[in-house]
Amino acid sequence: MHESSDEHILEHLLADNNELAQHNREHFDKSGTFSINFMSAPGAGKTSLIEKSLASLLKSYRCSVIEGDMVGDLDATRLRKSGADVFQIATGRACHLDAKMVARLLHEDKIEESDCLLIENVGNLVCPAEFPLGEHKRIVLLSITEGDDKPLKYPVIFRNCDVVLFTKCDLLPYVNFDLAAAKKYVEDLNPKVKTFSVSIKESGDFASWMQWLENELKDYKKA
Amino acid sequence: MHEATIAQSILDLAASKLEQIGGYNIALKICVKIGQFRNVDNHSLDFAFESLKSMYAGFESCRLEAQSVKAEAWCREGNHRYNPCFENAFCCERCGSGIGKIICGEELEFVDLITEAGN
Repeated sequence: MHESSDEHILEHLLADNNELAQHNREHFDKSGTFSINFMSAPGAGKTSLIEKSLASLLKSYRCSVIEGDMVGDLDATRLRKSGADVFQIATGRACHLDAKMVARLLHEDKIEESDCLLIENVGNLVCPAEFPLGEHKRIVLLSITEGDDKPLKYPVIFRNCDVVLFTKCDLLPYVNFDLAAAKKYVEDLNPKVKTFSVSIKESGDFASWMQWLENELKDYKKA
Repeated sequence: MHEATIAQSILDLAASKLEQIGGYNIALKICVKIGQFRNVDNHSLDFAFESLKSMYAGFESCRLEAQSVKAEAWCREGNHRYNPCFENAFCCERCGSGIGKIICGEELEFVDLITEAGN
């Protein structure tokens, strides 16, 4: 005899992760910690961007970092030099952070005391998009050396983010990257997205990105 | 390959449902819905499911049936219902505007567990 146990009752396949992400978010809100999830392909410049952003943020805010890597602590060691408290998550074979990994660090004093938590996800444009961590904002980096077609190839991550940062823009004169086209692809996918073209070598639009970040942080702390 | 994580979630969910049913039931088939606008490859999901299912009692002969759901959206300017796809850069083929609201295609859902009374 065949039986259907639960016909037509739909459950999200990642409900456990999503519930834990909600728990993480509530914990962040209780401690007043504005959390940001940075996602990109490997080598897009997440660590460099966080390093430069911290140099400015740490003047006014207590900041901590969760550094997600499959193996090693090279980026964590580098970011500790900024003065921020950095916590390493080695994901092993997993190609993304998930809410459970972040939840294990929630009660770290330095994170609870932070105004801002910057989470550097594992370099990957596919898997991290499926696993919310409880973050307040999702930032995707696309370096101009990767090609302007990446939003078309990886639409899910570009649709489900708050900001896209085009990085390494000091190299624009030397590479074949159509910035206007890339921006249009992103905006066609995601009507609410904000985009900034940045370089850590030159000031340029980096100031606009920092202005946006600090405004969001101020608004969060006021609320 | 996050499909392994998703396959494990499917089996965890199904195992808890099988336990709720009680008795000596075995799982024959699990049905899930996967939207086109999710980063899930059905072949990788099936491979991960087949690799993991022997670790779950009662699931040794279970099959995974993943139904793909084509994406549909309202476009931003013309309010047309269309299929946002790579070929049109995810824009509306009638007016060229981008995605306004996705109607379907973001599913990642457990639909059904088919069981059979064991001996």
